[in-house]
Amino acid sequence: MAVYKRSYRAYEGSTTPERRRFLVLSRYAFFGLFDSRPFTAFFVLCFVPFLLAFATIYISHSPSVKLLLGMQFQGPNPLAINNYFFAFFLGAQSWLGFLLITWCGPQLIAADLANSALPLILSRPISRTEYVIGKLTVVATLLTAIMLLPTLILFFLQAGLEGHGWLWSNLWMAGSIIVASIMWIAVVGLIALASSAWLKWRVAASALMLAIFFVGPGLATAVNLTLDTNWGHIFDLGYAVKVIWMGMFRVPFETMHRLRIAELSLPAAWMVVIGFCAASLLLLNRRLKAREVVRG
Amino acid sequence: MKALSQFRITQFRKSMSEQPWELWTRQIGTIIRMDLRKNFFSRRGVWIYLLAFAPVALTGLHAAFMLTGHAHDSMEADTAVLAGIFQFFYLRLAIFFGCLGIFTWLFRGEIIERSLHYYFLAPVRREVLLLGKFLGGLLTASSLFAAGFFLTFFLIYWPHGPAGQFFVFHGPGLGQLGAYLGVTVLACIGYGAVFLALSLLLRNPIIPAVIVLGWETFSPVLPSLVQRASVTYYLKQLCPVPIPADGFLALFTVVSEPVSTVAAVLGPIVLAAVVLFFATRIARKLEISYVAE
Amino acid sequence: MTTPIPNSGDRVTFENVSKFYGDVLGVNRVNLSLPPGVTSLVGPNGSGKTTLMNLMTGLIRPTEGRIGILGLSPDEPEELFRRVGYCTQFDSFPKGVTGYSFVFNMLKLHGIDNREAHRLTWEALERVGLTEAAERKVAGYSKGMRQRIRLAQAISHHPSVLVLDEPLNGLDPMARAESLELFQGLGKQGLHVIVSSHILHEVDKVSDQVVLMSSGYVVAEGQIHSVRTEVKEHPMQILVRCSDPNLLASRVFAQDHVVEAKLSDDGKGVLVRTRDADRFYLLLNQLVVNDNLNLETVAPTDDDVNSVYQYLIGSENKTI
Ligand SMILES: Nc1ncnc2c1ncn2[C@@H]1O[C@H](COP(=O)(O)OP(=O)(O)OP(=O)(O)O)[C@@H](O)[C@H]1O
Ligand SMILES: [Mg+2]
Repeated sequence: MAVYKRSYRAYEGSTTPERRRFLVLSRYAFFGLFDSRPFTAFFVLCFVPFLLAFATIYISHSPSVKLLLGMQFQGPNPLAINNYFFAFFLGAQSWLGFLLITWCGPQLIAADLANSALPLILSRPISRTEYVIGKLTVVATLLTAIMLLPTLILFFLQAGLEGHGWLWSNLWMAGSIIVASIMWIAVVGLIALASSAWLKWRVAASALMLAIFFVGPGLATAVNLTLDTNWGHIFDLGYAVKVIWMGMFRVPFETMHRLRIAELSLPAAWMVVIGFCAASLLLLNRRLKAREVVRG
Repeated sequence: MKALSQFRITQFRKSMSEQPWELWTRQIGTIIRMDLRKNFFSRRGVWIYLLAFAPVALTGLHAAFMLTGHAHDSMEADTAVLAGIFQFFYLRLAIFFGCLGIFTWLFRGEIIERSLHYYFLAPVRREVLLLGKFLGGLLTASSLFAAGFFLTFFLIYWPHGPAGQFFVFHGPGLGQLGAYLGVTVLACIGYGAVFLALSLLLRNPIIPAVIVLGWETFSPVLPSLVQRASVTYYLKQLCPVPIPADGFLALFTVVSEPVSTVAAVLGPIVLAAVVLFFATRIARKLEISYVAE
Repeated sequence: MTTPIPNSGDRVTFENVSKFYGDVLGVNRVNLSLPPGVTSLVGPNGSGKTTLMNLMTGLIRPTEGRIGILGLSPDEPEELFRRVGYCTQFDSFPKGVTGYSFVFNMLKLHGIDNREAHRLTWEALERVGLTEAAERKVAGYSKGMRQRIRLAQAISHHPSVLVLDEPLNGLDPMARAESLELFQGLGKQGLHVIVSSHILHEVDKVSDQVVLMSSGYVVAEGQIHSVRTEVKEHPMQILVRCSDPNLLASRVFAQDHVVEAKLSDDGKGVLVRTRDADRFYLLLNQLVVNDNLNLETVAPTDDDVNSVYQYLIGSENKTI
């Protein structure tokens, strides 16, 4: 009798159901992230604007403040809580979220690659897709906590305080908030994963993410200046996102024009965003392999 | 009193002349040579080429349009375009990110590739090592960006034919080119020193880099005294063709009176010297520990 | 900056040196004074050999204590590394180097001119037998070749102190024998050759002195013969708690392998130091059977040190 037949027994205990197995990866990633105290501190800091906005909405509905404003301003109420308010708040949170992901996102995959852990993980019953989804879940959860949830809470706070059918006439805005957030999650998450999959050094991956969002506008300006066109904006991912969001929050064309965010058409902006996401997916697909090629 | 200070000066001179300057220059030369080989001929460095030469592709297209008669730009317009490319693309972004990559990699790269100990085990002072590495990075960064800008410049004026030639050789063109290249080198010195020091101080210098980027972008809206602590403040002045502030930031820009040219040139250099001095302090205490990055 | 230790011109000295990596102990309270010749640092994994060597060469700084190498402090690289060569445990190289350019570049860092550097490089390559592979990329070398090229780099500038961290690792038996011969030769020339190893009997034939390490402590040090005897005769301490400590004490005293036996403070136990634990246990069994001794506990009190000795010396009889 072979030795292994006598002593070897396969694991027979319970396993995580296949459908939520990818969450194992997310869970460990979260443990890793929140082990870092600076990270936790920054995460908490991301909620400061939320508190401020919360207070603003509350104050703007207090009768005495209304009275005071009514006496001083004849024109529109400067504390008006409208689509601009939510667009601005979402925009601010999206940048905070971007910085957070720039910081922590790259270590999601880069750490596995740098320590040659990827072949080990992929040799467990977990597929490449599940691996990516597991890591993407981390980004999605963080961004949901920072962007989507606070904005929705503010939205419903406003609806509750305003009453008079405000909710129904503005319900489209809740949809915009959700779709805008999901888009941002997809864009930032995929870029973060792709850059960390290609650059083992996480600092370089962070720098690449920054560069995509900061060098893009510079390149766009250079293209627009040199070739006397507006198509340079296709290199500017941030710009395209802004165009789409403005559309979603029903910002009038004149305002967009004044803010110089109307130089790219809406379909073109969508193409840019989809293009960046597709490129990231392609890069991820090429890099995430259960084997590693070492060049001598 | 005077005699004493005289004595101190002579003593200082004597101790300076006793230092092994020749050895140090040789060592710095070796360090630079080793680094240049790594920087210029590695696939890892491709992105710097892309950054430095992206505008060349653009102006190349522009030149092609002009030569085939699809565009008729005046030389004034093109000079403004060149100024825009330099200030918006090179100065604010390409050189910033290029230096971020090159200079943080100088020591961090050796740590990640586990080869820093070879330098530390050579009879080289840490100060000399730091200076050699810095100069190597500076040479890489400034030569690439200067080359990129030079080609851009060439492709802007060449399609204009004789008028372009006249502008460059008999007009202000050559002077402007010199000023731009000078600013490029100064920017590499300033940013390079800052990023080198940050990379020695922190394992992940990204957050401070973001802060520096934010600082450089938003400092124009701060009081003029505060503005002087930013690299761009000096460099913008040295750019030969001014560009009016534009967009959102323009609303809040505080116009500050310019400093003299000498001060503007010395500003980044002094900043770099101070920062490098602190960096040598850190380098002296640096220990080899290749724990996971 | 630490001041060099006086009167240590030709020695490598450690004065009360401790190194902590955060809370982790690297080495603790090391006092050594190594004369020229071949010195072997021997100890199991994690015992602090590499830490000690890194401290010696200034790659890490001691948390406490002073280190002197031929009267120089590790803080003065410019002087120190003309006289010290260190072949580290890290199996990594600058990117893209060939065997030749690796050694050559490092020599150039000394400020040596091209011709001389070229000559020294070939000399070192010949010494380790790598002349044929000199122009190949190091990344394509086999493990043993990489080990040898690093050795070549460490000896290329004719240092008078040669620190080698596990230099035999990955070498075939032939290369092993050659390397050992090289170390011995260098030691005879009056160099300090400090070599680390996991296995004592692998290096003891060429060593003039050995330093045995365990969990950050130097547990024995000196000439190989005296260390060997000391280790063999190192008495084992056993604490026995029983119903009649006095009886036990009187019985064990009669044995020649027992060095010492004393009543513990509370009077209920006996601390026995014996050179032959097996015979002591046999005796204990007899006492239990014949004299109705009631045992509460029997516990060796210095198991750690013992197992290290077992490990270090015991391997002598085993084939590897
Ligand atoms: N950079 C470091 N950070 C934290 N702890 C360290 C570090 N380097 C070494 N140690 C710890 O110091 C102790 C001694 O390690 P050292 O590398 O000196 O052992 P060694 O004797 O060389 O072992 P080996 O035979 O495996 O090479 C170990 O407990 C180790 O975990
Ligand atoms: Mg070791």
